[in-house]
Amino acid sequence: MSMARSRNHTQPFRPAQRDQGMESDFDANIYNKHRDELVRYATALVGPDEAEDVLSTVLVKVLRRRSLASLDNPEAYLFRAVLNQSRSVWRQRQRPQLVRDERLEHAPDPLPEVVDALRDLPPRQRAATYLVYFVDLSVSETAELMGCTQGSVKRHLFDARRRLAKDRRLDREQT
Amino acid sequence: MNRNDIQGIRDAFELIVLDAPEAPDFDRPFRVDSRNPSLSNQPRRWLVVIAAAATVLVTIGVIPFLVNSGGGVGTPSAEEATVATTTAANLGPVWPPAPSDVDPPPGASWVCPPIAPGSKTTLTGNEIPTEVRYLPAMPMKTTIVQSYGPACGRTPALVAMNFVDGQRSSADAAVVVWVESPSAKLNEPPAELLLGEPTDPLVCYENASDGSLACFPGRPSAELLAELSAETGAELLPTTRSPSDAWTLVERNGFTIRARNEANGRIDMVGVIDGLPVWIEASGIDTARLETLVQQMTADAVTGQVTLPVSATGIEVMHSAPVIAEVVQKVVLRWETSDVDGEVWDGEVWLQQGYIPYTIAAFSVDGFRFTTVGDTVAVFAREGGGTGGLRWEVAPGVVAMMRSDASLEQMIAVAESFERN
Repeated sequence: MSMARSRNHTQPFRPAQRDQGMESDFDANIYNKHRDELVRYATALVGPDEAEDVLSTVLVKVLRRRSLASLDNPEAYLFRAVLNQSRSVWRQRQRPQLVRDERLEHAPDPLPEVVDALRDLPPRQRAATYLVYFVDLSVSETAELMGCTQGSVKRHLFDARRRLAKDRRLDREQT
Repeated sequence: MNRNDIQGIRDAFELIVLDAPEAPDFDRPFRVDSRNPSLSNQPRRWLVVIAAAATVLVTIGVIPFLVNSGGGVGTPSAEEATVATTTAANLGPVWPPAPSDVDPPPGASWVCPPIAPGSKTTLTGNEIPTEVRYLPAMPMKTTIVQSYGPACGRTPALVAMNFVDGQRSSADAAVVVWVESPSAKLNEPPAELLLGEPTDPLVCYENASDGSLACFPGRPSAELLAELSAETGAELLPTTRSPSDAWTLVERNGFTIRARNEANGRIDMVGVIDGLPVWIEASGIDTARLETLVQQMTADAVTGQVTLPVSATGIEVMHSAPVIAEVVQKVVLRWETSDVDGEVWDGEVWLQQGYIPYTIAAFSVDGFRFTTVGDTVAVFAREGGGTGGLRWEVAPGVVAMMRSDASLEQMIAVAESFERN
């Protein structure tokens, strides 16, 4: 079980506490607290080859705008930023490779098929699928991290399930 | 979705994140190019350099989009660009405050673009800081525009760009309008809009599956087409069809119903039925029967319910809705968000020409919240999210409609900024 999923069993994505001191130190602390989750999230969205660049770009761009410490929920802010930057990458590269070929070759069936199906999902559908089904977040928690309404999350999940079912990569659309 | 399905997804994600790289260090966000090592451990310096990158993007090629006038089209070369800004006075309070460390990097041989608020100008090569050319993983596209102002001691306001270099931007030949919403709170992202230039000729693509048209002001990028194809699950093929083709006009009670044939027997109908602006997509109908059908339709302006006559057998209503956006010129441009800074929206901009604006406050529909900002911007949002938008007149006779999954409050914030513009 991954760290990302087990983390949810405590208190998922609790907003970072504010503190007093140097702004940049706060930013560093906030970022370091979530960096592993963020890089896994980015990996789930754009694959391992692009994840670091996505997070790097996010880090620079966010800091250009403001201090993380000034935000009410910097974690959600960072997650949204990763998703948006991943969408930008997705637009440029169209189909990011989520899993390296050597991994897929040794993966048990039917994983490669499911990986392919996930790869074909647009970023937001993939993000919702990742956060709900892998990280085990609730719809409301996912909505907060994606920066959208719960209705939008449900819509993304519905679309994802429909697309996966259409590709016959899952047994049925939904129950 | 059953447990096996979910487990399959989990296993797949497990495999995917197995190769997750190390997260970049806070103080060294990029693997910095050795040609410019001085930038490697100074994050704040990066802010300045990134800000300077705006001018590089500007050199890609810019055509102004004048929000106030709706005009101004140029054909700049790759080495020059035209930019339009609005006056700071029009934008209300400056947001965010210009940072103090916005001077050009030491040794940077750049000149701030000579853009006075409210003016158009042309950028040339000597206004481009050469250092930014060496940035690894240089942020692309629109987000940099915002920094253009403070980097040159100007208000981050509204900058319009038109990327014409398909290699640099997925929004080539489209007009990017960046709006900093003065009313935005700290945790709310600024508004970014991607608008079509009303005077650009439309280039249309036909959905190979259902024959619907996707039209763009100017040629869309391959990336944008690929994304749209992926989302619709069908290939988009170039076509000479125009969204204005095959319009049939039917008069009813003093209102004109516009209808057009789509492929596969589909018809789009737009107009006012019993006081309710409606948009109906139907199939199984030919133009000859259209007039009869239109005369027999009824609508409830309170509930938004549209009813077809019983005699209209064989007609399948695929979609009927009160037309908060009157679709006259088709969905013109998909609106993409490329801002990483918490941008929450996705949506579309619909342009309409020659349609008389109406007041949405005159009716209400269950599930929607309505409001207006000023006299010209109408705002709506569906309760619970999913559909919302605003409409405004970008130029005389040209009404833009933005659809989004933003909240009503967010849309109002944008609308307020439009009003000031």
